[in-house]
Amino acid sequence: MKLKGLKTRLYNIFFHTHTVAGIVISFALFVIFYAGAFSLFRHDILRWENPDARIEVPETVDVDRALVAAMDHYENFAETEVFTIRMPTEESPFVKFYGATYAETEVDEEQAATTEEEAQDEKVTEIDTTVATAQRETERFAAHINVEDNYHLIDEKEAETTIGDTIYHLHYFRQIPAIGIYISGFVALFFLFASITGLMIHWRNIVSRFYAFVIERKWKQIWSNAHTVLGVIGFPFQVAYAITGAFFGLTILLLIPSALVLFEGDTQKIIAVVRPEAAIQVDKDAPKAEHASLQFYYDKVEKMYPNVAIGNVRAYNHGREDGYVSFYLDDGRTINGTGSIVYSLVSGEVLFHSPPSEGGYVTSVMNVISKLHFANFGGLALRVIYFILAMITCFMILSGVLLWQEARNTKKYTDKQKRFHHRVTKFYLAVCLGLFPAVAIIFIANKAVPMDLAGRVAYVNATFFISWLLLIIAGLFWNNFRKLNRNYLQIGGIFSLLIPITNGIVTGDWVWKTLANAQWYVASVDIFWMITGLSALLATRWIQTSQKQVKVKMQQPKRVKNPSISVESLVVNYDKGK
Amino acid sequence: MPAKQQYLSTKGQRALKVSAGILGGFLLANALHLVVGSLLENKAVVVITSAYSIFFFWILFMILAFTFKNGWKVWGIYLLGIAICSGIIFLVK
Repeated sequence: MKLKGLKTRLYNIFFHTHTVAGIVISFALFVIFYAGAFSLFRHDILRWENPDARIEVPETVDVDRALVAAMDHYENFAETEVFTIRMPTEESPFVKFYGATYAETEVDEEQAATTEEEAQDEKVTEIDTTVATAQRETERFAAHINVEDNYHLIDEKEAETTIGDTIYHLHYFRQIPAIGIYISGFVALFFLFASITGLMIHWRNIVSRFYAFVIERKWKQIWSNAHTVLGVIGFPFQVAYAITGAFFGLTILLLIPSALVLFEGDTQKIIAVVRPEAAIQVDKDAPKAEHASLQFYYDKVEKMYPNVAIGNVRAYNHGREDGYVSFYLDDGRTINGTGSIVYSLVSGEVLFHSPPSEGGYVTSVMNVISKLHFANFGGLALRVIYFILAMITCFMILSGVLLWQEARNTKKYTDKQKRFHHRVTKFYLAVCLGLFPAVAIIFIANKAVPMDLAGRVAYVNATFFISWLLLIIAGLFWNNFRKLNRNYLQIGGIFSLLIPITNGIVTGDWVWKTLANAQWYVASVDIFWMITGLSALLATRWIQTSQKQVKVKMQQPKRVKNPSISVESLVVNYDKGK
Repeated sequence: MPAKQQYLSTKGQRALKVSAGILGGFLLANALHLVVGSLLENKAVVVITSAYSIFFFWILFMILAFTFKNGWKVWGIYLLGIAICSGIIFLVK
């Protein structure tokens, strides 16, 4: 069955735009999806990465004590600045504290970075940062508190482990100063473009080719089938991610025009629209006032919503007479299951109330966008599905690159062009596939670098980035794509298998022990890497044996002088009789 | 498989269409939202909707830009659209 597709001219034009847009963003997009897939579990792996976190979730948390811990730890704690106490969850047993201190020095870049982090972490957008930074000279900080350890507070800058965060930051290129997040936003935007044009050009074959997943024929055919079929299957997922990703990266582009035209340049008014609880006007110089403690209101909310988790507690102008506190509620089960309630600290009056699952359109959109993106509305199973879909997308991206190269491996192109295509593909493959061993290496480095070494996070991160770089450089010397593929799989597989072993040696928590003690979060990371490592090594073996089964005939290139690219004219004849 | 060259336009034309799609498309998508926003009493709905709809419109204008044969025409139409939208916004204010 053929659907009516595009006319010839448009077909060719969109084919070309799809190719160009796709090939330009492909490797960045791969990194985003690959790092993003792991970021889905960045809270779940906390217990694995930090042995101090291998504790039970505290049953009760005293928010007042958390505040006292922060006040004690930071000399210049800015009480009137917004501060947020994020409650422990099943996955991460620490209380997170985001607050501000009065800066003694000039505002540095760290400030913006931390607030951004905080905003993302709490599943709100950067809109919030304008509230926090628009005022006095303050510096934002992030810290975590171990409730079980007498509310011991550790600033994130002194934190001992950050693999979850490092991979998460890589997901939106935060390692690139200032513009990283915008690059990721534009990559997401052009991903949307490539997805839609891809669907357009594939439209006429969308039904007839859907079941055609041929793995025995020409490579061009194999990549083409993989690319189109996986693209169609993953289309809704990919569009959802392209849109929400573009939103997170490019919020600023959306806000400026609306602020200027619709709200007379007043960003505060926009915030009032998007997050009413954040926009209640306060006066930083209002008289000091005695008021009920945060815990008092916390208990009140808990009683009101016994079945809904309080995600975080956020105080505005604490200690002053117009101070207020907002509670973010999340049932964690539905896509619109969030709500909030705001109390005036002094009078106890309810200033704003949006019960979970009952929010109107305006209050829901942001939550739905962030829930779609962070996949926190359906528990672990949903994140596993998202992870698989993200990996399928990664494969779709790479098959697109290989298709691009293979389709240009014809007589129509000069040797110089072919060499260029080959080099680009090789580089892209090296960047993308090198990430597999590199991510495994950061897990090993997290254990191998001694826990009490000062500044160990820097060493762990350096190990990750340097090994990724070395892996890329190594890849540039492997001219045969088959060999390149196999080598990365092999290296990645070996490192993956080393992860549970290193964890066992360093922390003493071997898989059988953690399983017996029902430490699922620790055990599952080890088991995941064991399965990954074994499958990677089995795949390598399969590549090697299948190589023997097919007769590989190297046709000597007639015009190509550089033997290093002779692989391009590799002709694979499959043994039909078998 | 690669697109057939005879259907593709010249480099200059391509640059026009790409710039019209990305820059013009962004401005036009924004202008359309702002018109709706300035006409409606409930501006919140428009601002919040634009969080996702703007990207669809932006991509739509990028795609439309390539359907034209003449890149100048695309720029012309997009600029005209932006001008009309700005006019309406100005009048409403």
